[in-house]
Amino acid sequence: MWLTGLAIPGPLLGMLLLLTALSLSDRPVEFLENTSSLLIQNLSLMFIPISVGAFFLSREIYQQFPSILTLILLSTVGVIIFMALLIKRLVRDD
Amino acid sequence: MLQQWQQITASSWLLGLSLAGFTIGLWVYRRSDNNPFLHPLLIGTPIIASFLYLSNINFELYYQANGALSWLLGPTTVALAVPLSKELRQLPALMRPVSLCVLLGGFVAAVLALSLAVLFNISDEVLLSIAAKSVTTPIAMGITQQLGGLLTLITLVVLLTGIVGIVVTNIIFKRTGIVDERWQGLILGIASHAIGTARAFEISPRCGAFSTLGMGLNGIWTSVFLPSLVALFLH
Repeated sequence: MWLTGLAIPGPLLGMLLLLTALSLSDRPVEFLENTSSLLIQNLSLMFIPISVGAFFLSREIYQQFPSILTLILLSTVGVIIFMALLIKRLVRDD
Repeated sequence: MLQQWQQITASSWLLGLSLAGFTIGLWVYRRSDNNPFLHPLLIGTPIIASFLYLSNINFELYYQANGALSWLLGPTTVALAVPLSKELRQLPALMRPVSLCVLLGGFVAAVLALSLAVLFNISDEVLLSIAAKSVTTPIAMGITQQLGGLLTLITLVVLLTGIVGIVVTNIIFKRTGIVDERWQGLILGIASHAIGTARAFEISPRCGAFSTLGMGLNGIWTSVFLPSLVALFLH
């Protein structure tokens, strides 16, 4: 996990390993497909517990909350517009 | 491990609470024809939180009882390799737009967030806890720990970023004319990590695969540049 001094989490490393294995073999692996699509379809459910935590934070954080929220809103909208325009430009050039 | 298991089983009905909240959320979402403003996470979590408040249940207990759900995020991250491997074959031809979008998108996301934090006069502690906001939770937690930020705050900020992303992308894609599902997915993954990816899989498996790609690459890339970038923005 701490290879090369970078914190690449275990699951991400596992995904990269499985991806390498899958791209090396041409055979479709059916049992893997069924399991993985079942898990992926319920991805939102797995975020429920941590998301409920948003309602149970400390007072000091809630005080800074209006600026944090504005920041998240502006920067996320900003970067999505940026990428959309970037892609438009890159793909038109090709 | 045994103790953990006992804790999980003793309060396992709280796991049922998550499932119930999610089911209600999902029902509303489906009825609304997948309107992102009514995403299961937005409908389900307030229901669960108010239930916990009303019945005076401590969040820690609830969170531990739901360990199995959070644990599943690990195997599911690994499982994302399956749809991704199907799209990988066409990747060489798309190398340039994909890599530029990840490199610039990930960087601009961090620079925008940090500049706004300075502009809004946000404390250093909070600044360190929001820097990794566009990265998927497991990686964001690793980066935030390394930076010295608050782990409880980064999980919330990551979550809100994800939700803002899925709510606004529809409008932005329409306005800018991004109709190709592959680019929609890539942008969702870079800007809104796993929540964007969950949304992308609802659009189509191909959209989801590109979202996975954006999320994974951006996670690795951000963990490389963020520590040195953050240093420039501290008071």
